[in-house]
Amino acid sequence: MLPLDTSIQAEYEDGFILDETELDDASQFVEGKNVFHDILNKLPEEEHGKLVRFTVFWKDNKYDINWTMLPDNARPIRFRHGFVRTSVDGAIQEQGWSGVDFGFQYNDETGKNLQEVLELR
Amino acid sequence: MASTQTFSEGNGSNAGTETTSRGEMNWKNVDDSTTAYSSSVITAGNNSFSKAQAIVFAGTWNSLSSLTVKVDNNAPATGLSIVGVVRSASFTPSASSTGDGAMSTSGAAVNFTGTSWATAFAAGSSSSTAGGTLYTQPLRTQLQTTSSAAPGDIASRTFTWSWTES
Repeated sequence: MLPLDTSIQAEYEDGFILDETELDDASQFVEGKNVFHDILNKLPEEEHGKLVRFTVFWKDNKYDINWTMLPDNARPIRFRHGFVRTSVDGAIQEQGWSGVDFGFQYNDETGKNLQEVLELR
Repeated sequence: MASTQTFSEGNGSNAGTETTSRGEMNWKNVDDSTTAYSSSVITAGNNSFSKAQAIVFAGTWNSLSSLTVKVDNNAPATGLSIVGVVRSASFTPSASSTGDGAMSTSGAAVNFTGTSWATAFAAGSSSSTAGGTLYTQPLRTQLQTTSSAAPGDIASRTFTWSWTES
């Protein structure tokens, strides 16, 4: 199955890969939540070790972050920009993503929050 | 899955009767979700009945935020204007002028409210981490006309709802 636009993957120390598309974006831990929720809250890490790669897919491209290069307190960022467009007469019903913001943030030794975000459109 | 979106419409007293999964929002001279617009036309110089529709989120997400709604053109022809506002209080649809301003063409902010139509008219909040079914504040719109409006159908207009989802 090809990854959907804006979807993410996370790879962990033992080689386990959490793939949002394969899981239909359903959390494996908390009902009603999504895969990003699991990654953000480190829920797979007890069984599979630390996050080593965080990836997003957008317009036939794959963007990776090597998570082993980041501080321990780094948190993933993935914001999808969704839209629904409807015409008054009902002839047009479009739904989709207009872009995705992807990256990470962490707090330095002074507590200052630093983030790096790639705005994909 | 991510989030999914459908539209609900409110009719009757306090717009309290919900019709789910609406596929159109034609303005007309009656307050219901069933009559064809061609059977209940708006005559030049009069207003449509005001209409309340809200977006309903379902599916899965971590958070939803920054929801806005806009129309592509709020003055589409001579004698026609589209007014609209995001409502936090209920109202009963009527053909009287709503007194609302021109419908935003740049994006009016919409808050997330409750889990049912009964709780949709509320202040809500600009972001939500709640799961399950999530309603937003309803958008009230009305087509207002003057006597100079040309007879016949008007070109359909497009509404765009945009949000951020993690």
